[in-house]
Amino acid sequence: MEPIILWQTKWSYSLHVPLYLFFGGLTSGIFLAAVVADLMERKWQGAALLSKVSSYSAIVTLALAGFFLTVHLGKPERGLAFPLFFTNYDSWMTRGGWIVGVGTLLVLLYAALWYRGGAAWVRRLVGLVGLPVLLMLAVYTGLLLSRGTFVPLWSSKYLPFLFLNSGITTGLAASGLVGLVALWFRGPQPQTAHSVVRWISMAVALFILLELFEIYNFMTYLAGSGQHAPTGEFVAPKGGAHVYQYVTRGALAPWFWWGVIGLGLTVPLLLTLVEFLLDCLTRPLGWHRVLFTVPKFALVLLGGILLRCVIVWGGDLSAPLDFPPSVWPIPPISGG
Amino acid sequence: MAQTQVTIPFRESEGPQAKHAPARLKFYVDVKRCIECGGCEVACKNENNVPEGIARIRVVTVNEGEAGESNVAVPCMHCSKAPCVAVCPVDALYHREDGIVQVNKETCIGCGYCLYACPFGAPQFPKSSPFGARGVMDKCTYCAGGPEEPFSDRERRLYGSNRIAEGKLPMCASVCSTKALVAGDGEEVANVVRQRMAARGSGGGGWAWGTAYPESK
Repeated sequence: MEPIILWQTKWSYSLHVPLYLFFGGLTSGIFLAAVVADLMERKWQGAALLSKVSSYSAIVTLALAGFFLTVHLGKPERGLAFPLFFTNYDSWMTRGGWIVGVGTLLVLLYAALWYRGGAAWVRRLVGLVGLPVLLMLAVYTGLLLSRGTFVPLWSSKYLPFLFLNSGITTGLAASGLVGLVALWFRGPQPQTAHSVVRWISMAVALFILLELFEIYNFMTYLAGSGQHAPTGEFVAPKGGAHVYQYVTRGALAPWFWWGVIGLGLTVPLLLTLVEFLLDCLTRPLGWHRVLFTVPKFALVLLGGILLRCVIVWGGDLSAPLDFPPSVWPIPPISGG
Repeated sequence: MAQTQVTIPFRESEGPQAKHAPARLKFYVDVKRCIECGGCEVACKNENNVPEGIARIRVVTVNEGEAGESNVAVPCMHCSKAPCVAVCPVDALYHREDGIVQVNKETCIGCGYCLYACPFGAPQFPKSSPFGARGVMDKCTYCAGGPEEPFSDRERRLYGSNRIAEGKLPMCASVCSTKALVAGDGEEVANVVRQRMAARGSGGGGWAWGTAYPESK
């Protein structure tokens, strides 16, 4: 018997929630880049500047995340007053509200310490304290969706890691971009000043490879769930296979293949390969590196947005109803 | 109007499951009896003045045009361990003592989290202004109104009718001509299910019976 497919339409094909999730993860990655660059200040030329501008950028991206989170609500004013209204601590949205709240304070404090100067160890300490909170923000964006236990695509097994990985990839790319802009405004730099951007470029490539591996595993899992393993807690036996078809061959296929896999991951990887080969075969690229890194970072950011779009839009397919009558809301004989 | 409460024996709920009230008032949808007449949908809309774009109950057809085609009316099932109640960040969704899952539109923030948690797609989020509240969730109330004063204009405007307070069953179940949609006390509903299943023999054609009890195939 085929499962009943329900099509939900609350968020369908809107950009608010994908952008909220994207900017949430992006902030995590930018903060990670800022803290790592701060710690490596003495080893990498230009790392201090990159850390500084990244810490400022994290405020902007977090504000954008908050903006898109708020405007998708039916009652935005109640969402803004979340410490008063969010009372159910079993809900990941409540936990996420506090993660965003605490994360915002730490991001602001870290940026303020960069702005005012002073002891570097205090700033680094704040950064190290804030890092787990901000990384949890990226994980939370995956966990938030994973509570939709009847939505095959929102697997609690894969989404938190995928969104964390994507958050780091896009965050590093965004830091690289703002770092390049800052270096540009600072004026002509020696070759070594670009070493931090080179490091980030290589790190982005590594995380892209990891992300491709995770997406492959995720899709394989969905495709195989028709035979044995249901995706979510209560998803119908063939729910995973249905959503796999929807994402890879259905209405979302162009977004997935051309957007996420093609432009967002494969092309940046190829640009890294060319950049690497030119570095090895000819003289170091210097400022010409931007011909590869800028489009690469921009495409990674685009891919991050499209990944969230595919995942959120794919959540419109819900396949819950083919599950045993024992979990239907019929009371047992005792009535208890 | 005088308030008339249905007498419902109270059952204590303690321990880790205290948040989830014991099963009380329930729906049962008999897929072998539903004829997809749409009477429940019309009756619900009429009784509660449900605006266009909101479906508090809808009839879903499975395997349409194929052998084994069946229909199932899908209202809010007022689950005992309701996932919507579990995920709602602001506790706008809650269980009444009689087990009905109710929404408080004065608290709901319209995030849509409950929609994706619900296995039945019960929560509704209209684009316009349903029941005078912008963007907050609306769903089947089991014809029990809302947390406002019973029979008040405000309750009628925000939530619809309150037949439970009048001692009546939900309108959809009351009008179901084949009694495919059964509503009432959980034990009585369960008795109806058992009688029908016993009359039909092993499995009784129950929904996904083979999934639950593969050895009975």
